[in-house]
Amino acid sequence: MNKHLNLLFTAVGNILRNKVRSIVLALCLIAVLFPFICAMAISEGIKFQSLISVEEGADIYVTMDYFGSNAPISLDYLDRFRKMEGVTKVFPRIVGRTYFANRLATIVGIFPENLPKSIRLTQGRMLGEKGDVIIGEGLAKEFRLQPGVRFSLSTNTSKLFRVAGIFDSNATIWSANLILMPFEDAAEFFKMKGKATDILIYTRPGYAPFLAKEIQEKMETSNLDQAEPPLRVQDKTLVKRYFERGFNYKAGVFTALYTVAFALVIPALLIISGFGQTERRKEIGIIKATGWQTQEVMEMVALENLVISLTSAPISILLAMVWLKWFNGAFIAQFFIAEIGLMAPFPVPSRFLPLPCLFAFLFAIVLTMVGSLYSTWKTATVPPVEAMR
Amino acid sequence: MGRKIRFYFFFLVILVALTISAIALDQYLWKRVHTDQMVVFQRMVGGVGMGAISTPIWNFINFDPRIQPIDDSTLWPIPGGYSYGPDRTATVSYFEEIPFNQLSLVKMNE
Repeated sequence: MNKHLNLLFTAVGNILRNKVRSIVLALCLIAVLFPFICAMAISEGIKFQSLISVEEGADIYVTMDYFGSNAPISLDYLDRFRKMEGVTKVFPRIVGRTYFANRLATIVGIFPENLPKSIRLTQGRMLGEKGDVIIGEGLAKEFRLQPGVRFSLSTNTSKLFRVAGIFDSNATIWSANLILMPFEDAAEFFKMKGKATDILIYTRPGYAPFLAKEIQEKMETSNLDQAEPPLRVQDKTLVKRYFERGFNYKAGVFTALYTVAFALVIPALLIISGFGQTERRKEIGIIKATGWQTQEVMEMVALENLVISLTSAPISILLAMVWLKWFNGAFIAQFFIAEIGLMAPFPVPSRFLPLPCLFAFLFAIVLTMVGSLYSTWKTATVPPVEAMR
Repeated sequence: MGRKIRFYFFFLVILVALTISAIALDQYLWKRVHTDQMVVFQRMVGGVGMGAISTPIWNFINFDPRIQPIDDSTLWPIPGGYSYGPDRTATVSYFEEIPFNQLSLVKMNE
């Protein structure tokens, strides 16, 4: 045990003695690990918000199926769904998109009675009169909108809106460019009266899968004579599967790409860690001449790598935290969240899970080991006189 | 063990402890999010937004599969979709459609 401890102290001593080499190596590792940790943290943050979006959403979503794509659904279906056993709440919603000046915005139309009192607005009030809208903080900041400002949009210029309130940017990233308005206003704006983009059905626990099946079958049977297009029914489980598959796929693709990048960095680090190689060769030659075994030399270098990795990985994690939490992921977040610009108008969600952080440490170890063990072994196996030359 | 080495070990212990504490604190803060505005907002709108995107650019598929479960740019007249569709060029991954079996085979009596 004492022997290993002594090797560890010698390794730290080597790190401190070869300051430039150690700093260059640590900086290289930090440069490689920092984007990886940032990406994983942002990905986990968005995943978490998505999970809330699924969990807090409806149990069943029903739309029309026109030629295989989603299409507006008639409000006539509302009563039919309400009468079904196990259904607790049914309401229609409109989700559309429009350009607000040159910025794409999401329009959401819901019944004002669905607005919870606990929703926090940074400015203004809840929807009251016809034409009132609540806008996201991203839009408000970009176009300097204040409560009371009136506007119309080119999709339907006859429809005049008034900013009643501004959402708190802490809600979710998807609220940043959102325009929330009463259902009737949204229907008028898109000129789709009597239609909704989807009908949201809330059910008693455990009823959703059966109801989804029943809706699909019953409605299609009742529509045989009228020859209406079929319904597209999605339940929470299906939506969850979308989200899990989608994010796992995204994370998988990113990790695969990063592994390729790592593979390319290894030869680069091999060269970098050869920084001061002549000095290192001499050192190894001297310690071999004083009676060190090759195995001991290898262990010392491995411990050096361990200590360097143990220094670089936590620094990378802390740097990533500071950058994402304090500087809101400036310049970095746009690589992972589309359409946000250099400075995100909302708090960029970032979640630091232990596993990706552990991976970062392991990556650092693998990189340094690959970059140094072979060259050390090669030097340690030649006669000391030759190594010292 | 020299003074410098001792100091380095001390620095390392502090660094690792600080990192672990920061990760633990982050975990704790995310757990508290459940009572926060995110939940109220999502409950209010019935669930919106899935992918790593803040506006519904081009293909809804990256915005929310509940709203448009297929990437319809691939159905447009140009085979394979428009080459400049952001979904195809800006990212290498996307939300894939989950296949739904609509086939029912009926055995005909001869």
